[in-house]
Amino acid sequence: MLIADAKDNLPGRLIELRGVSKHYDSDAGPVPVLLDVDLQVDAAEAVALKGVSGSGKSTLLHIAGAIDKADRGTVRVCGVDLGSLNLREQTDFRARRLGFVFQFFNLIPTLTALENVIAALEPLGGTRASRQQSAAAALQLTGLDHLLDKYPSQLSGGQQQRIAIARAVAKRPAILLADEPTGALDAMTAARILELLDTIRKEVHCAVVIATHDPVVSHYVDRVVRLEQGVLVPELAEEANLAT
Amino acid sequence: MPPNWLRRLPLPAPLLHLSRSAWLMFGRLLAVGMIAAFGLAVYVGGLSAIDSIFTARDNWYAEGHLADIEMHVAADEMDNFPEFSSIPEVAAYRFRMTYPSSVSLRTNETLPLLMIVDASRSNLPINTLKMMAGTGLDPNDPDGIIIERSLAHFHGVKVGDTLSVKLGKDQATLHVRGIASDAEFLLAPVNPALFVPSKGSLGVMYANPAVLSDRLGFLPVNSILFRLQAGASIDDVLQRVTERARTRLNVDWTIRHTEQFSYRFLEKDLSVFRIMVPVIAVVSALSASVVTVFLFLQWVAAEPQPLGVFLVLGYAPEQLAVAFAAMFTWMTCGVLIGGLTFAPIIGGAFLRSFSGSIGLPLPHFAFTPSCLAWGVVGVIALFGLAGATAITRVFVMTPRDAMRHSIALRYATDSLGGALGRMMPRVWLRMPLRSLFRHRIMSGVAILSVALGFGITAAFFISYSSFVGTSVNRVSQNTWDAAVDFVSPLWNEDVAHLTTANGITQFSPYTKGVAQIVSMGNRINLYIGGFDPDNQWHFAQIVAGQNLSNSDPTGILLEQSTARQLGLSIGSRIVVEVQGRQRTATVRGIFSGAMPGEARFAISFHRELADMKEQSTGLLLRTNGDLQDLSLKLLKDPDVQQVMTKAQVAAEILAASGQVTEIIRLGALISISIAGLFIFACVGYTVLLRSGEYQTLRVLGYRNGLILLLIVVEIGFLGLASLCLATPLGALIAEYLNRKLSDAWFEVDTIISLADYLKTFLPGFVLMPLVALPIANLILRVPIAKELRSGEIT
Repeated sequence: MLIADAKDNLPGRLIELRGVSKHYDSDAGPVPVLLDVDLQVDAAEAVALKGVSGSGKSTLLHIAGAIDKADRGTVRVCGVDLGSLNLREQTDFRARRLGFVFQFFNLIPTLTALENVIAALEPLGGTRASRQQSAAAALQLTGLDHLLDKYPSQLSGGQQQRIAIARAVAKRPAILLADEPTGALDAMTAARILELLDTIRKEVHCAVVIATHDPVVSHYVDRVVRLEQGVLVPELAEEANLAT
Repeated sequence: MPPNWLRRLPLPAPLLHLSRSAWLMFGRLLAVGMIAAFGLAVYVGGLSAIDSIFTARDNWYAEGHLADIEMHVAADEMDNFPEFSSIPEVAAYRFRMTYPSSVSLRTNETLPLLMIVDASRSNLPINTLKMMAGTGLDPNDPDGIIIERSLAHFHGVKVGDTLSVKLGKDQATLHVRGIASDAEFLLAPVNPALFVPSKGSLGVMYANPAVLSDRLGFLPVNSILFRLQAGASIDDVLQRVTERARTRLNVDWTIRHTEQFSYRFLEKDLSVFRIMVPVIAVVSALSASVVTVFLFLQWVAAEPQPLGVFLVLGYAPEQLAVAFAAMFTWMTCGVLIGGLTFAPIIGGAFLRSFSGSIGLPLPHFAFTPSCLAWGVVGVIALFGLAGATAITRVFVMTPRDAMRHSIALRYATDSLGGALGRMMPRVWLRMPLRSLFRHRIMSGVAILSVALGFGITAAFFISYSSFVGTSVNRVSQNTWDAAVDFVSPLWNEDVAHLTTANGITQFSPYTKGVAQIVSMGNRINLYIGGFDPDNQWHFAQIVAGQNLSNSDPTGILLEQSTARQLGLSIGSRIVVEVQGRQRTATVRGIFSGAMPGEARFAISFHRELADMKEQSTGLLLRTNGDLQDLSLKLLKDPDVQQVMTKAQVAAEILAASGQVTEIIRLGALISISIAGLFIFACVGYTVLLRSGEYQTLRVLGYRNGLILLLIVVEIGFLGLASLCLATPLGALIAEYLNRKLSDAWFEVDTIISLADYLKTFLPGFVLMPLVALPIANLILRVPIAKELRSGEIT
């Protein structure tokens, strides 16, 4: 095995945010982005984080993803208090436990599809052969095993996002965080990506949190939470119905 | 963010935007500016420093009332000398005795000495002494002397010291009363009778006439100094005083002050730097040109969207072009100010180094107007051209550019980059290597510019090593072990006695002196060495023709620059003259020599010409015994002035060439710094452009150390390619420099050694990762979240 199964020794509740607040500094003074947010995500659960631009979705995702730190509150992910981690520990944590998918794919243009996926596995060690095997398997999962040697510039947006997803799941993370994964895609491609995410969640048994303002996402998740001006508001009934 | 004062400047919108844009790339602009400023400073400062030396020299000569003409005659009583005051162009003249001797120093070494005794009875302003310590000569203090400053500077002699000076067969004890500088010995006196003139190898002292007259019963005179009226023709006066002197005296030689050995040595020395300094400046200019054009093009290329927006808003392309032109103009002004501020610093460093190394007083730095003008014109032309090239891009932009979204993905890599990258086992090797191939032109330009910088540095070290190595090799090709100079010419039987007494069985006498030759209306003095053609112990690097031969006793060898100056070639017939005796000689060979004006005759020919039959001024010897022992024994002989072993000659060469070392190091420092700045300005920029990729790696779990390693590796790959190219470049540039040196001085063989490359490449290998550090810091200190929020990762 390349790495220990991400689900070993993990609590049932993978994400636990309590009283999380965050602000950013601007010329006009501090701008609150998140205000006393509580959020829980369980293992293998799919949650959509909805809200308009500037509502704090990405910030919440970054905090949960050990990319940013909350000003107040506690953040426990996979049983680890992220606030107690230093920079290196955060980096290592991301490498082992988390997968990321971004709106604009964030692929390395000088690496092929296979190499982009391998890039996510290198921090975890292992042999070259095992990394290649895992990467190839992840690309097969996303249906791109015939494009291993292609560079991102040679691929469509949908294909690039599939590579990005393969990169995110190759290490079998406990949690997959997707920030507007369909934002740069047309409706049909977006739907395919969301289907893929759903398939992968079931295949890899990871929790998925998707930040989005795309209403279609609701069909692919277990639960929808909404952020309005940094505050988590009760789910709307129709969204709750859609989710179920 | 730009500072508030920049944001509040009352500028038109395009210019305001560009000034903020410039702020964001301030580091790169500063690096480019520094490269250009360096080049300007080196060109203006270096060449002005060289001119300052010449100006200072002329001023010192004027202040010291240096004689325009010096005549050397066979020693005679002053009463036998003709008068020269009736020659109208002669403003003043002074009689003196220049007495070659030797002095014992506290270190037990014996130094050749020139004792100067003033025989004139008036204080005429010719070769006036400038007292630096102590008091002047006192006629009531016959044993009191003044020493020339080099004796104090190089040999630690002080006021109050007592010196033991050889006078004929006696030793005189003389007391140092003062230290003075003399325009005649502007450079630390060198002994041209030595095989290698080195600073301080000749001591000079000024004594009361009683020192000689008490011992000889009369005061001999063998030197006359002349100062001419302003505007007088030196050649005319020289001829007339020589003719007048010949009516009563045996004239050895008459020379202009420009023919003085130290004068000519200084000219030769500085000619070397007139070659080196412009080369450094040209390399800086080339690097600056490439970097500036590149940076300006990058700047415009990075602005399509904002410029497109301006066009949409109704601004004309001309208005945008003017805004860019204003920015380039401000940058040009900054470079001019910086470069011209640096120029005196670089010039001053050169002056201190050069003057200290050859024993010259420190000259005052002054700008040479022509260098200043050309330097300024060069910078304006460079930035004008670069700016114009970049501004043309503005005119091809359209409002549609405002709609475009820049996709970094178009910069992937090419097939070669792909193939090479596949060979790399890890991402932190693969990514940097492929990044070099995604901007091929930029990478090529960067590699070439850095290679130029390192190549020229290596070339300087190679050229210097070649210069020294050639000199030392020439010495080692001599098959003698030591050269012995006599106090005065010795008869053959005295030479035989000297050699027998010291157990020397292998020796070859030589003669040294001065002769004049006339060719194509030029009359110049030559330093003659007369050698036995059957004993080719004293090596000559023949560049044309043949060596001396007894079958052609009047065939002579000429030093190559002298031959060139006189328009002489193999077979040329010339008239040589010593003390009025003339003979016809033929140029048999031309050689490469370190001494300006050197010529070699067959000893028999020189003896006849100089009326030194059966006499020698020195000898070359070989020995199987202890050379050191033999040298010490010989030095005790009253007839021996100097003994120089081959090893000592080689050591003197190295000591004399030390002056170049500092200049070489300064040039190397500048070149390496320029290479570092270039990497920072250009490669750093493209690394920063890809900041998003590095942030992605951080998101994936790559530690900061690995990100830093990635950047260091990319710069390392670029550096490695540059150093590979720098290797042949260095050899080629060194060969060019050596050809120039050979034309200016003596034939220099290009000697390439690994050590010279390592002196350049090792600092380069250290520098380049250091350059990577601030670039990496810029990337790593940005929080990932901030980068994600700004949408920079695309």
